[in-house]
Amino acid sequence: MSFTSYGFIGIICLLTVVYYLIPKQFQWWLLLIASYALYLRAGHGYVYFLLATTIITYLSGVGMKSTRFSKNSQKAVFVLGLLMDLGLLIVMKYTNFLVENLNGILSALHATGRISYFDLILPLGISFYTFMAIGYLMDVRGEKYEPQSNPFRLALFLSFFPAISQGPISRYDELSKTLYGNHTFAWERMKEALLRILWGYFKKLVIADRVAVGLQTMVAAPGDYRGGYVVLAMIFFALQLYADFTGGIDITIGIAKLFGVELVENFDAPYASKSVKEYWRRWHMTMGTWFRDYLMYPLLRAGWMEKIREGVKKKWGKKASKRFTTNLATIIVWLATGIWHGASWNRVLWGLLNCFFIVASVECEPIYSRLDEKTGYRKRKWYPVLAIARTLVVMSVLRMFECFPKAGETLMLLGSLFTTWNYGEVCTIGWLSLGLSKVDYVILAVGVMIVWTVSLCKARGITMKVVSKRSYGLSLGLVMALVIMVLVFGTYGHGYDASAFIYNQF
Amino acid sequence: MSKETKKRWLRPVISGLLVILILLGLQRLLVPKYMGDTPIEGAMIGEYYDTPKLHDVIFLGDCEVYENISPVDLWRDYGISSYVRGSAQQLTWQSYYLLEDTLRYETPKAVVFNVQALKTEETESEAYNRMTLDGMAWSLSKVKAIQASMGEDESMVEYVFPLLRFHSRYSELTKEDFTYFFHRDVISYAGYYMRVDVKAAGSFPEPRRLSSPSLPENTMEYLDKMRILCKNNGVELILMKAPSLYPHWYEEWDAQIEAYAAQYGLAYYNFLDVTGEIGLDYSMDTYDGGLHLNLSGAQKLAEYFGDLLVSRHHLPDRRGEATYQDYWKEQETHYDEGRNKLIEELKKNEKE
Amino acid sequence: MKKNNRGLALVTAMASMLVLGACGASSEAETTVASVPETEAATVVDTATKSGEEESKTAVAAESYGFTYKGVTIHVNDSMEGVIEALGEPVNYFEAASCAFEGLDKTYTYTSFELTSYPQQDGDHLADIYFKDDTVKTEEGISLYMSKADMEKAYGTDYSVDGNSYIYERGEGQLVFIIEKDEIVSIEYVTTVKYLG
Repeated sequence: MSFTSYGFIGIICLLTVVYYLIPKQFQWWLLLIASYALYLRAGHGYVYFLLATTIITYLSGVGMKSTRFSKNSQKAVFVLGLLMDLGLLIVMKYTNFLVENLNGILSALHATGRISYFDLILPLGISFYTFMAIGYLMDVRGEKYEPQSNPFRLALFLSFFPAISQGPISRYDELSKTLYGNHTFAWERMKEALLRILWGYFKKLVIADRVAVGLQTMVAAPGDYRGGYVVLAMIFFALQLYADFTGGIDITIGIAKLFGVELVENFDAPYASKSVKEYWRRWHMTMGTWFRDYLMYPLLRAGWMEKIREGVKKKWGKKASKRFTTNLATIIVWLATGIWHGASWNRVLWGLLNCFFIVASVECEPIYSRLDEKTGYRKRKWYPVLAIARTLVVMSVLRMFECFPKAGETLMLLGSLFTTWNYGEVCTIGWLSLGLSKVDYVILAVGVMIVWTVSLCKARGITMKVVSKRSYGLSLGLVMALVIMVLVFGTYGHGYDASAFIYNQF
Repeated sequence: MSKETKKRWLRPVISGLLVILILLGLQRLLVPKYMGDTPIEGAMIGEYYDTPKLHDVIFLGDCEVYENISPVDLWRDYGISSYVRGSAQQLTWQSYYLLEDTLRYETPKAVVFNVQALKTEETESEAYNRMTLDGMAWSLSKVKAIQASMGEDESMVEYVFPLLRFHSRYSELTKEDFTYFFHRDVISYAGYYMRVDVKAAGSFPEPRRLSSPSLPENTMEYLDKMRILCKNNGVELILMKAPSLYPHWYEEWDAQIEAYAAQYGLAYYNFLDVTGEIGLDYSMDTYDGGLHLNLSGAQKLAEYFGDLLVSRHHLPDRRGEATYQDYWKEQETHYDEGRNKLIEELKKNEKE
Repeated sequence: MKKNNRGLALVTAMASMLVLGACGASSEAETTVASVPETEAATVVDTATKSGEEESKTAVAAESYGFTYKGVTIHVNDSMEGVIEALGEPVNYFEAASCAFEGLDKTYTYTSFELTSYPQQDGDHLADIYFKDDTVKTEEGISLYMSKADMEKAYGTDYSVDGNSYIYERGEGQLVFIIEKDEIVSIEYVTTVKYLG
């Protein structure tokens, strides 16, 4: 169910009230029932896959530690569970991508036959809960903790409804600390939770959904919006992606907090990053750490990787061998990251491009260090600003591959930045022809200022708690202002337009 | 309560009240005022509640009622004290719930319902829904009326908190939203919407073939509910078809209503059959080419209908009763002022 | 032993994948929820969240039934301006007012048929085509006073019935025949787009 529907808000209110009325040991049961009920609402067919993954993961977890099995069998149970979980994800998500490519090859060979597409559905959140399941299995295998013996507890871990559709990707040991109930009502925690939710809605409804209108106009007809419009698209997408994703996560974390469940943070001022590498340590952090812990490290420890390292060491020395294997692992991880984001070549390209910048910055580091020794440019005051700006630009360009579904289109548009000189038109009338009015732009600007200010305050440790201690009136005023901004300027409901009110077309 | 506890509770309570107050104010500001830029027909339903509840006849229906029936003229000619609870595109179930609502305030001797609305079996637009429903006072009837009327993308929560529906009007606020923040002007004359301009009736497109000769089941059900509600409250239900030339009132429907009226002993007046007796002249008595009457037409209809109400339905002549006298004196003044203003405006426009 | 186990594991995994995948093929996604972890793009770009939806994703809905008159074919929802231009001026023109908003439904009467328009943000569109006599026929050759069998031969039996109306739907319009005593007494093209009436 969408975060921004009246029904969802109503359900959360009801759930919260009931949660604190029932005996504490049943609290997590309520969450489990609610999670599955909401999951069913998203589409009846989906739930079988969630159940399948849950059952497989449960059996594998328990099985791989069961003394009934031999060591080899335990390993087999682990591998089987892992492959089945991963396999489900791959089959549901990538079969038709495979088919598409096979058909492409067939047509390139001028063959007449084609493989038909499969009628597959993509269950809600499969990419997220599958990763959580795999992480759990690998942790149990690595003896980080004992497997969960209660299948229903594991089921709640995988299906916890606030996080199912966009994460954060939780680790079992972290989440289980607060997931399983015994929470008393605490007004302070409720206030924090509600404020977090309000903040999330602010970003989502006032900024993200508003700018999405303008962006959608351009994405629907990319050929019509080249040159200067691409700059707008980059800015819009940067805003939209940030506000929507971080806003959504804020709502997620806030809702979890209502129930006393603590989810890990997923973002840490990503737009303040000074390099692409740093960006990916601040953006979608749980995904980054997941790939690091469950793909990168296992890769680096793998037997065949060792062999490669030995081989390179013989020829080019120890340092080179380390660099080589690290970069190789990075490339593999980024290929996976790209494809995890979506079953298309666009995503693969995007993953590789991000990888390129990261690897390049690592490889070029010696050069930069030497330059810094000579000139001390990194210690200048303007350096951080430059670094942040540079990162913003690079990421904005890279993001275009996420924004436009076809790689060819994206390249064309990026090229048009230099070939289509319509900047004048864009600045005078173009910007108002995208579905956003001047008032909208003002609201967006104010919204961005607010987000930025809050971000700066957070960096200096000024939170709402601090403010309210200083001046209750001020904190109340700020909250009220936020509430009003969301209710009045939020992009929800049907827009009221005097003529549309008359000539409404449903 | 100790001073400590008092202090602890004072803050959140006052804060809460303050937030609610501000939100209510915002809501009031953003809701359409139906006073100029937004169609004024939306203001009509709400005007009923400020009147003294001294009505012997209540008229229900859409523009065929509120533009053709003039209570002030009924008073002047026969001393009948009436009110038109009409609204734009009032649907049958909305009429029923408005009747329920009205009966909470008074019990008239008779209720007149215009049968044209029976042909509309489905809600057609949110705009019309709002113009009828937003003005209703909150009651179980209003809740049921909203539920019966809601279109696919409407929701109850947006009726309870209109701020959620109209919040995006911030970019369209007009002067009216501020001038009419606290109160609205009364734009109807005991529910009558006055027009004095003239546009003669021309020809109309031929009526389309009916796919089924009978009126929709669901609206007929609500008509029946109205009948029973009236019976249970000792109110006489009178059915009428206003003398509007378009949309077409089919023979089949007329027959069905006649049969219904006969079955339950209700009076049914099809004014389209007696336009000659009423003295209607569609070259002068209509302002929009025959769809609705103007003031002169409404006056003629009031004379004719009033006579029926008195002679056949024995509605009392309230002239001479002090409370009625006072109430209607005010109405008459308002009416005369309004009429004179409209005539002046018309003369001015004609000169241009 | 190790190798066998791993091989077995792999085979079992693949087999169960196919089985479960087959299950997936038979169930229907009721909503194309942005279930892909595209962190955001799903909300902006109309990505095919349903695998293999690419072909039908941008498929334009089938066009509604057409009406040809003097070589010009029109469909409901067409822009009225274009229609009048193509067909010429009507014999009669009538503007119906509804309760609060004037001049919404406009009816253009031609010798043998009638057109009604409805307003949209970008101008008037054709809402309705109504046959007045049997000198005009539908694109599939049906005119007034033909029989029900003729209609079924031309359009099939995939219609819905409402009273005496037989309704065929296609695209954003309907073709409605009213049949009394096995005779077509009314032919009407109606739009299914909702507008203020």
